[in-house]
Amino acid sequence: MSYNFKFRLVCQLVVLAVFFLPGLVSGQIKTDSTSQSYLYFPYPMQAKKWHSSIGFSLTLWPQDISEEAQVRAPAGDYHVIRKIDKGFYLDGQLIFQVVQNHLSIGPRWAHVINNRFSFSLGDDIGWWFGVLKVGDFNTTANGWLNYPNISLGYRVKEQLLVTWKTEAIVNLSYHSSVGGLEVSKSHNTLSGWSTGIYLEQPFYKKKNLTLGLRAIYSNFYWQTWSLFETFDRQLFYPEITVGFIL
Amino acid sequence: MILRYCFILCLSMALFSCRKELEAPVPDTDWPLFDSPGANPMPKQSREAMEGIYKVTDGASVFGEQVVLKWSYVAEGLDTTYYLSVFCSKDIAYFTVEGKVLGDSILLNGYWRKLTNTQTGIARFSIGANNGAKQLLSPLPEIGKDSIVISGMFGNGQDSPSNKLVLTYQRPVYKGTPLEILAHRSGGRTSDHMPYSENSIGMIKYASQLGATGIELDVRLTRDGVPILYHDNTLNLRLIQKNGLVGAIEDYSYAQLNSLVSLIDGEKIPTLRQALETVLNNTNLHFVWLDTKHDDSLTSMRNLQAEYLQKAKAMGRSLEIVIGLPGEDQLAKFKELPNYDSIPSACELSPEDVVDINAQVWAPRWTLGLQNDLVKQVQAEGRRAFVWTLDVPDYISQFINEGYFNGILSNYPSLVAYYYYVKE
Repeated sequence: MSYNFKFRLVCQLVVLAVFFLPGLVSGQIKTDSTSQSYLYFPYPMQAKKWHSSIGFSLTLWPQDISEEAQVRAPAGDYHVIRKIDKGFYLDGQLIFQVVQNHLSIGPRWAHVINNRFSFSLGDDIGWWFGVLKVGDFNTTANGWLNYPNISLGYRVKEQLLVTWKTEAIVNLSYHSSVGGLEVSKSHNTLSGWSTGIYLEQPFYKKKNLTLGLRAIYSNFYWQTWSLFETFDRQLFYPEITVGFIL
Repeated sequence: MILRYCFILCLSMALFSCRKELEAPVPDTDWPLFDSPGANPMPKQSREAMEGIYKVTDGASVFGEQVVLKWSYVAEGLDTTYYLSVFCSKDIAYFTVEGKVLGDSILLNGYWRKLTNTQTGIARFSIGANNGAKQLLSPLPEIGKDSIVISGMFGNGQDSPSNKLVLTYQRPVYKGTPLEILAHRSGGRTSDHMPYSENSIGMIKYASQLGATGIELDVRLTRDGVPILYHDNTLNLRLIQKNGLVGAIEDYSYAQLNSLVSLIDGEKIPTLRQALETVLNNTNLHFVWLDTKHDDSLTSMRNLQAEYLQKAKAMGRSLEIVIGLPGEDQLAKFKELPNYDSIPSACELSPEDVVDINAQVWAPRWTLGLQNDLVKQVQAEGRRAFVWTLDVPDYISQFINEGYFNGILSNYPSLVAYYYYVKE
């Protein structure tokens, strides 16, 4: 690797310290977080109500697989959470691109550290499927994924919530079909990981907005299934997410 | 306030997200014993007798249960260097080694590489007199199961070889229904971190070591009409070193490209003439697919095709050169050529178009599947069917074992070679 991992780690820790340290020494926020809608912020839900957002994500595919084309794949994004029990809630997300779509769902356990910090632990099961039967393509594919995840929440201001979410990407199974030929693989391998920072804040007429930036490092990213790439090395997919909380 | 946090958010993301620069440099293979004055080239009959399917009796966890051994060569003037390639299915690994005779033993020296990632390392093996070398070095070698045992070490990166690998001969390679093993982009993709840039002279010479019997070349025209090898529409840092030039390659003259542009590994962009000269004089490749990446006149490509087919014929070389027609635009330009229906071509459009221009090869995309009925129909007309660009190991195996295609174009010719030669 050509970059200096230790230097990068130190820089990250400095930034995180600058960002979060004020919260550790001051406790000026008193309002309960449930006064504001959120999807990513790891905080126990108070009522058994649906919270949802609709938006889009934009993922830049690495040149190793997209080659000359600068592919910025837009996808619709529907995100929903609902309380299950005290401290527990369910998190579901549908990412749709017509040609390929991804559905994930999993429980979260959220815990409040103080009036600024909270965190959650979760484990999502994801299923993706793709169908491309046009022109020179007669292909379909689907697969199961597992995303163990941890989120750290930080209430910057009364209505500005910041979440740092990190998740592992585990490939559970893969199946593809090409003109009648089929390939199936069942495995339980760590394909990669992702980390992202999400802001949630008021946007317009009491509606809230989610803005997220996510870095994905993975051997396999479901959106690229139709390229049938064979690399066994973690490629970098930057992703931006915008959601309008309903 | 919000802007401040957005700025911090972006800064932190920039710090989190570093793109890894992956490389797989060819290891330094200096081995004093191999280069000692007493080490001599291997006789032809020994090389030929070594080819076969070998069981991996030690090292299978790294390279798989069985491998294929095949020889190839690169000629430079009067000097010919022979390379023994070892094709593996696991992680699309391959070895390329040279062989010498030292006393009554055979030494093999080179390196290995896995194409799914960037793992590579030094490889040094030997065949002792009692492990098959004596038989191999005889004037008429008789080789049977377990009669050759190749043992040695492989390393990781530049580290000295310290991991054991033992290969035991099982049977000859498959020599039934012929299959053209065609290497994409003259041998391999730049994104696979090959030792040479894609579409370079070095890559053409290397293709045989990857198991290719033929190559596909991406042909574009410069502003002054010189056919050159280059895949993308534009000059970009994926394929060339940083030089400040941008835009379509057709906007530059050959002289400008030759003096100002270097491919990613430092080579110059070759002309099609240089590429065909290399195929003819330096390799044992016998099929060249000129993939037409432009929609201008095909006259200059056709002239070079005719010239080098004539040269090959004069040299007694078996060489086919076809003009690849990927779309309607290229098909229309092809039909503007005089006597187009007698020009060797590979048409990627429908079988009807293939008949229309009397193409020698029908070349559908692999994502349509085996299409056995259509393939048989094309073959019944006296043509061949090649499929492109097939890289997925499980599908390569299925295309070879369940399909009827005459050729497979792949970024991984070593894997196609493996699945083809292990057939029984």
